[in-house]
Amino acid sequence: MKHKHISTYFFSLAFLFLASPLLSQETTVQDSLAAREKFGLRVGTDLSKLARTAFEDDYSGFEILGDYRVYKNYYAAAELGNESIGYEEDNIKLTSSGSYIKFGADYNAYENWTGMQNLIFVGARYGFATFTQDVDEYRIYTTNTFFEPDVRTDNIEYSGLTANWIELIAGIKVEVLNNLYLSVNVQLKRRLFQTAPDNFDNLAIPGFNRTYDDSNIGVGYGYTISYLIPFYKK
Amino acid sequence: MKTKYLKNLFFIGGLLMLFLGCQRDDICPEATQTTPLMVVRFYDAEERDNPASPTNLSIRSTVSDSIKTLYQRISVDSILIPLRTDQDATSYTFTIFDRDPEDEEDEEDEEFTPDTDTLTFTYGTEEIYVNRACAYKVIYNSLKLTIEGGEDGQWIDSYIIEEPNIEDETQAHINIFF
Repeated sequence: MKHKHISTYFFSLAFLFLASPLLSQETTVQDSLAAREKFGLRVGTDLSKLARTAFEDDYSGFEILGDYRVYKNYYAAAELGNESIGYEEDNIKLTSSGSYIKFGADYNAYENWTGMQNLIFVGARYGFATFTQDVDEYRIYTTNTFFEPDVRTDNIEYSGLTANWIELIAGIKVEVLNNLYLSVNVQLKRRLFQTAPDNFDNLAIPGFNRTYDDSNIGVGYGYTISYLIPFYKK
Repeated sequence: MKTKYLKNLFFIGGLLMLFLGCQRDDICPEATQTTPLMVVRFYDAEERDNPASPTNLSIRSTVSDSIKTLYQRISVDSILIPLRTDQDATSYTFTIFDRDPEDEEDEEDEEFTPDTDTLTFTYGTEEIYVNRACAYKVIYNSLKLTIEGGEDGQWIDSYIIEEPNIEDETQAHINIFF
């Protein structure tokens, strides 16, 4: 819970930080000769996952991502990652680990001043994950407290699980140095299909994050750094 | 154009916060049927259709190497009893104390000895996943009972297992005649 607050705090800070070049751009004097826009492949990684890996005991994860400007304001985009998510409720504790891929498209809705390459984007993704859930500990639930609590600590592994989902993504990308971008995004996901274990459920899915019992909705965020490899200018 | 998309962004952000703020599936609701208790009903040994209440019944079991009391001197014709989920047997002592406390002659007559029977319930267990808040419950099957009398013999006359599979508390699982 504490970590959630910390990440919310960083997230807000990052948002302010990234927004500042956008807000202040009106005063910037632009050279009209640099009017040609760059097209190319942008590759990067999710910093928030690296930070969580460093600071959270029960999380480790890594994501590489890329997008390619196909046409005007349209970008083909993809993310590839591997995560190990620790998930805990009152009566159960587990680790969900595996790999995921997400691909789709982004649309840049931001009209840059001449020569600038910032983005306020919305996009869609299709996501697919293959993963394993390891139940570390659980308690047999009973409303009667006459006997001592029945806590089971035998590790149960459910492997070969899959899930897929669609995702809406929105965020901003800001060019902080030449060709170097910082970006924040939020993700709203809806699960389509999953293979869940017999007599159990998928409580957390790599790439999708925690699930909810009464809905197929999932949420996520990203804080990424990426580098644009320019192929040509137009 | 720009402000419209900014608005959309804030709208989505607001929706996300709503989702995160309102979800309460982390507490196991009381209404959820989790591990059931065993329902025991008492009947008269002669008039076998008539519910009867044992007088001042106390029920005890050994929990963590010490005697723990489940019920202390109750007089009802129906009780709920928890069964151990980590073992396939649970033993209880059923003690009745049917001396009339107002009858003083009785007290002078004889030294009071409570009448105790030891009941051992054996069963199979099965773990069922409920949801993320409650995690697992246990249900029981193939319920069996053995009764051992105390020094004065059994006060329980006989029993009938009505329902050997204990999955909920809506019906009697065992009837005891005394």
